[in-house]
Order: sequence, then C-alpha cells, then structure tokens
Amino acid sequence: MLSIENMVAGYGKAQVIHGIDLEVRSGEIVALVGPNGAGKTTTIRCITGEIRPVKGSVRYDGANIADIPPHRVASAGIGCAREGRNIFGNLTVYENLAMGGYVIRGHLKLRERMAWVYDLFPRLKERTGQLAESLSGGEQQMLAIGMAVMNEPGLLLLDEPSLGLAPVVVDQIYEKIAEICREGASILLVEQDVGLALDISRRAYVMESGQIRISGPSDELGKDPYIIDTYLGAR
Amino acid sequence: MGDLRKKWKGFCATLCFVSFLSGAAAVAAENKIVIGSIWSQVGVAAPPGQAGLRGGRLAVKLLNERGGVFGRPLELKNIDGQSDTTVISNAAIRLVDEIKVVAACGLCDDSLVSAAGSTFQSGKTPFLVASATTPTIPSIGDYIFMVPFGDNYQGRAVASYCAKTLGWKKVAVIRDSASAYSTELSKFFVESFREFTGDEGALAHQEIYQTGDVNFTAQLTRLRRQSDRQRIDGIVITPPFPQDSPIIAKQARRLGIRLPIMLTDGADDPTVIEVGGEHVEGALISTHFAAEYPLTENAKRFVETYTAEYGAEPGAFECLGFDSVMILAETIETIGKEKWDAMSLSARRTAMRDTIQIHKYVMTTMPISYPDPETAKYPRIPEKPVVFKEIKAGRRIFRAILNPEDLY
Amino acid sequence: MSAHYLAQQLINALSHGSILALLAIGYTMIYGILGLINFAHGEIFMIGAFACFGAVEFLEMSFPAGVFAAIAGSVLAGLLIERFVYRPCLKRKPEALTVFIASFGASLGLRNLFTMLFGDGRRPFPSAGFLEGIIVTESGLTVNVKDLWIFGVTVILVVGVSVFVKHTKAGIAMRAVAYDANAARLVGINGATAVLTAFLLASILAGVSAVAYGVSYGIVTPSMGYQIGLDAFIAAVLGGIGNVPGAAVAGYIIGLGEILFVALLPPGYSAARPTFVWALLFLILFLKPSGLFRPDMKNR
Repeated sequence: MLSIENMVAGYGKAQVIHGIDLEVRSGEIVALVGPNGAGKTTTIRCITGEIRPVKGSVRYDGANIADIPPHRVASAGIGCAREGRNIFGNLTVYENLAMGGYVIRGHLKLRERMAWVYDLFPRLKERTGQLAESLSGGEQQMLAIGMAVMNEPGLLLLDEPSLGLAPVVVDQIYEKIAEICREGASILLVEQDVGLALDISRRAYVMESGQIRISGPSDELGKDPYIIDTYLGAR
Repeated sequence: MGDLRKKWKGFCATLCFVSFLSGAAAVAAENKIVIGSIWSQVGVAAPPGQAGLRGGRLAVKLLNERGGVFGRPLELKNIDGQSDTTVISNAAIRLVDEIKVVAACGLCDDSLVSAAGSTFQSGKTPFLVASATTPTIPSIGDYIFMVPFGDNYQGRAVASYCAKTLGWKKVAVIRDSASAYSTELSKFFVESFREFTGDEGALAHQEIYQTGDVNFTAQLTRLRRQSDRQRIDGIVITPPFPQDSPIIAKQARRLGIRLPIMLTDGADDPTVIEVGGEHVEGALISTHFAAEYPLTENAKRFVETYTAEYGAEPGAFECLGFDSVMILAETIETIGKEKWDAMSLSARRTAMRDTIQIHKYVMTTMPISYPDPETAKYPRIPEKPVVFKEIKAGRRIFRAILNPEDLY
Repeated sequence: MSAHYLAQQLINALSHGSILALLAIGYTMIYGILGLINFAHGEIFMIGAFACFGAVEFLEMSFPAGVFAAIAGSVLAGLLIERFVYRPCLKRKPEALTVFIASFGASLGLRNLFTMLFGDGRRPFPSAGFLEGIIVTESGLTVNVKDLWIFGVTVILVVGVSVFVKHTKAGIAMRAVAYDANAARLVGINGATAVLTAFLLASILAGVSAVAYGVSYGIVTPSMGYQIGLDAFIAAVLGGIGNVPGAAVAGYIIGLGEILFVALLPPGYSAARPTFVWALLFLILFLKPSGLFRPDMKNR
C-alpha cells in the first residue's frame, strides 16, 4: 500500500531524516513512535506532499507520490489528521466535514459518507451547526479524524491523536480508530504514548534522530528490553 | 527627495554662476533674446497651462516673422511646472540663475504662483503672472505683475452682472475651501453683491467643498432646502480648476435644482462642456476674452492667426499667454536698442520692471496699463474688461462685456 | 431637521454607499484569504472605469456592453496583479512590510502608468438613457433612476456573493483556505484556485462599482480609485475582515455617514469629510477592535 524507501528529507539545509524505510500494508495499523524531534511528523509531511524528500521514494499503490502537491495527494486517497488538529475553526462542524470530503464527486456520495462519520462520532452530529473553534478538545480531535476519513481513504495518517486529551477521551478515540481500520483503511499512527500505540497496532517502527532504530511486530516490540527501558518505563 | 533635488539644482546653478563670473560665456546668447515661462503641461493646472503656452508660442512666432525684437530672434524657454509646487520652485531658480532670462511669464492659481514668486522677486527678474487672478499676488514684490484682471475686480463685475443685468436679489455661493482663489473671489463677489442690492442678507446660502471631492449631493440637498424656504435667484460657483463645476452642475440638476448657475474664469475651459454635457447648458461664465467678440484690431488678428495655426478658436488662457509674451516684447522694444545693448543683465531686468510699471501697451489684444503703485489698492494689476459667456448647445457664446468704468 | 431633508440625504447615500459596499467586499475577501491589504484594488476599480470608457467612446459599443467591458477590464487587472505581483512576492514568505510595499507599489505604479497614458484630467464617463430619468415623489423627494439601478444591482450582487461564500462548496473552501491554507491543502483544496476565485469575485464587483461611480459622478480619471479605495478599505475593516455582508453594510454606513456629516453640520465643516471617515474608523475600532460585525474569513 505505502512504501517508503531510503528517504532523506529536511527543512532547507537542515536534514532531519537520514534515509528511512517504512511500509504499511493493506488493512493494518502501523505505529511510528519515538521521542520528540525524532522526525515522525516530518515523515508524515513527506507522505502528504508538504515536504519534498531530498532523496528516496514514497510509493502509494505503486505510484511515486514524492513530488506531487498536497491537494493531489489528498485526492489520491490519503487522509490525514494532524497534530494540532487541522480543522477550520471558522467553519461549522458540517462545513468542516464537507471540506474533509472536498474531493468527493456527487452529492449523494458526500451525504452517505457524512452519515457514516456521524454514525462513528454521534457527538459530532449533535454539534453539526456549531463553529469548530467552539468544540471541546476531544470533539475537535473527533472532527479532525472524521474529516480525514470523509473521502474513504485507503491510507489514514494520524499524528498524535491522543495529545492533550483526558484518558477517557483517548480510549474513546482509539476505539474509533480500530473501527475505522476494520472498515478497510490502512493506518499509519504517530504516537508519543508508546504503550497505547503498540497495543492497537500490528507492526511498529521506532524512530530516533531521523533513523529507524527498531521495527517489527508490535507484540514482539512490547517485550523488547530496550523499548521497555526507554519508552514503557513504569508499565 | 524634493529637497535634495532642490539643493542639487542650487549647486548646479552656483556652478554656472561661477563659470559666468570667469567671463567665459559673457557674450554668449547676445544674438537672441531669451524670455522664460513656466506653464504646467500635466496635472490639474494643465488645461490653462497648455492653453497659455500655445498663446505664448503664437506671439513669439508672429514677432519673429516680422523680424523679432531689434532684428534679433526672440526665444521662449518654457519649463513644465507639472502643477507641482516643488517643480515650479525649481523652474523659477533655473530661469533666473541658470538660463538667465531677462524676464518670464506663466502660471495659474495663487498656490502655484507663490512657489515661484519670491525667487523672481529676490532675483530681481520681472515675472508676469499669466492667469492667476488673486489680487494679493503682486504684493510678493515690485517685480511681480499680473496680466489678467484681479478678483476684486472680477468679483465686482460678476456681482454687477448678477444684480443689475440679471436682476438677482438673493444668491447661493459654492466655493472650494482648499483654494485661496475660490475663497477670495467669492468674498469679493459677496461684498459687491451686497452693495449693489443694498441688502446685507443678499447671500442666502453658502456651501463649501474641497478640491478632489466628487460627491456634492449632501451640500446641494441643503442648498435645495434653503431655496424652498426663501427666494434664491442663482448659484455662483468659483472653481479654481475647470474639473469641479460640471460635476456640481450635473448633481444639482439631478436633484431637481433648476437655478441658473454662474461660473468664474477658472471654469472657462472646454472640459466643463465635455464633462457637464446637457447639465451645464445655460450656465454663465465670467472670463477674460471671447473669440467671437474681439475688442481691438489686435484681438481680431490674434483670433485669425490662432485659428489658422491651431485649427480651433482661442480661449481666455490662450489670449492671456499671448498677451504675456507681447508685453515682454513691447517692453524691450520700448527701452530701445541702444540703451538695451549698453546694459548688463541686471540693469536690463530692472529697466524692464520700470517700463512695465508706466508703459501703455498696444501690441496686446486689448490696451493694458498698470495703475500708479503709490495710490492703487492692489498695485501691478491692470484694469481690464470682464467678458461674460453662456454655454449654449455645447458652445461658449459671448453674452456681455463689463468695462472698468461701468463698475466704479 | 425635517424628515423630508433626512430622507433626501438618505437617498443621496444610495449610490455612494453602493459604490463603497461593492469595493469593500473586494478588500475583505482578499485580506481574508491572503492576509494582505490589496491597495491596488482602487486601481482595479479605476481600470474597469477606463475599460468601459474606452469601449463606449472609442469602440462605439453600447452601454450594457461597456458594463461588461468594465468587468472584463477589472478582472484582467485583478488577475494580472495576483499573478505578477502577489504570487511571486508571497512565494518568498516575505515580511509583512515587504507585502505592504509591493501592494502600495502596484497601486502607485498603475496610477502613474494610466496618468502617463491618458493624462490626469477628468474625462466624461458614458451613460445610458434608461439611467438618466428622475422621479419626483408626491412629497418632493428626488430619486434618480440610476440610484435605483445601482442600489438594486448592488443588493443582488451582495446577496449573491454572500450566498456563494456561505453556502457553495467553492465558497466554503475559500473560507477554509483563509483560516488555514495548509490544512486546506491536506483535504485536497487547491489554495491557488481559491485565491484566484477571491480575486475574480473582488474584481467583478470592482468593475460594477466603477460603472456605478462613472454613472453617478460622470467622470473617469487615473486617480479616481485613491480616495474611494481608502474609504472602502475602512468599510472592510469596520465590517469585520472576511465578513462579506458586514463589509457591504459598513460600506453603506460610511457612505451615509459621509453624507450626514456634511448634511447635519454647518457648511463650514464640509471640507473635513475625509477626516471624519478616519475618525469613525478609530472610534469604532476603539470600542470594538474586531469591527462592527464578526470577522469571518479571519486567519488563525
């Protein structure tokens, strides 16, 4: 589905990612974990087209997407809910979802998808006419994910969906993520809470200083002494 | 920026002056007689400026065809004032210090003249103001003369025409508060109008706008309300430049105001009819000259040669430009060739001033002379007739003429 | 102060308010989406007026064709300014001051170019017979047919553009880009298209406004967009940046305010009218920093 090979990227002259390989297969949740500044978000930005990699390839369904602009990546079937919640505060919940489905052609299809999202997050339906900036943090995260899945993406990129949310809300969100995966989307999940990420994912990559340090099936990594020492700590 | 340019010009002028002192160019330009002019070719003052220059050039052409002055060619050196006070101030410095003209002419509107006047005065170089009419202008000094009548006189003539010829008893005035011309002229008019009607309340209403305004409906609606409450016979507008009055007229007519309109010499320009169209029909204009009513043989010849040269009849500003150059040429000839050749530049300039002050000019389109500066209330302004025109079928038609003796 | 007098002044404000309203929407949309004050908007307006003038006077087109020429002229100017001034400038992610200078330079440059080409005198603007009628009501109020046309067309356009921005997909996308251009790209919205849409709409309205100005005041000059552009910009700020109906209402408030300032104070104060507009801006921003109405397309 998604395969990244030997990708090098950065901002201007500052190189952040020094050649990584990463793969997401059809129907699986893959976690990308690591400390702050490891290059996780930069990796996501390379996939969405916001940053053009200096070297290497980003393939989606066999086509190289490294060089195409973000709005075309979105219409190719990659949805993204980013850290900082890329919702439009000046639009209503309904309008935000409509923008999430911007690339959908046909009114019927749009309504069908919206109904699906409202089913997934009934809370959003209650708030449909409300401005997005007036929602609570959890609701905003739900909206961000809802927007990202409007276009029925083959691949969903989730950047820190648990950030700044109460544990109860995080559990709710993660339940929904699992549900979205069962509906057929592959998911690349960037998460600081390594325990949470390993629980939900099938495979995981641990990224440090712009490189992949360890990768493998999540349940195996959960037992790795280095991971336990460095990331899982008290658990 | 402008300041820097001014300094640079001043520096250049000084350089030129030093080279002159060394005697290198002492006899240069002896062959031709150079007079200067500042007429704006762009900007708000371009309509009168372009007209003035056309008139001035025609005068030079006619003079040179009959052999120039003392058999020497006359040259008119015009600098474009661009309707900009900084440019005009620099132009004056160039004419006085660098080109070293014996005298100069040009300019319209009091605000523009004040940018150049003191330079000519301190350079002791006679300057003839071609078409500004504010009577306080020559108070800059004894080298500054006006070619047209002053507004004290124009205001009185307009008042006389309105009160005596048209029989108006009450008027409304619209003036531009950003222009000294407009403010002063309306003041002179009101003063005389009260005198002629014997009615202190003869000014029924007054409205004010500012150069650049395009929406006069609020003022005109108030004027209309006033005219509903009391008798108003007509509206007098004193626009400094030709552009405002047609818009005012248009909006007045659209508000249903049918009162007759009287405009002053700032509006004697084809623009008024082009922009105003049917809305300025019937409007009256007080001005300096009417081509179809030449007062003298000279004026008749001026109209003929101008029409032959430019393919259109001359207006008031063309006439004033023509007369400005004619006065300068006649002044030099009056001084006489032998005296002239024996004089230095500064002596020539002073002799010209003295001559202008006392000479009675005959080469101009109408007789021009200046009153005794000791006794005149406003010195260095000629007494000249005021012409009235009416806009009819898209043309300015001669209606009447008021001579100085009719007024006082 | 009679009601009749006030009613007449209100009618006087119809055209002037409409001209300002149409222009203010342009400022508010472009500021909303690009975060820049398009000082050249007054020149886009001026070029529309010249296009209509040229089409009717020199190409001898009919007046309605001239209206379309005005719109075409303004749109062409707007799109060229976007393409050759703002796009290259914004690409370099410049300082706010750089954008300000680029915008101001475009305005000044166009005004000077037209002054060089056509001189800065006032030229007569064409009109059509059906606009020239005058209606006098029983109570003596004078209404010009052109005022009714201008007001009617303006209301239709304001409602149309408001509905477009509020309810169509392209309009919602424009507001999304205004809020967060990057997030908009991630959902598949082409930011450049949204910016072009904003310039297109703003320029169409400027073209119509130019015709309204020409018909009302009868003139076209290279500097005609300067003062009215500033007034319209102030209306955009008062209306709450990005708020299309807000800008329109504020345009009418300023138009009426200018008229009433002259109408209600003694004649000697008339010349201070431009100062009054700025004073009004300061007063309202002092009391309500975000403008009279809720900002809509605001940047985050």
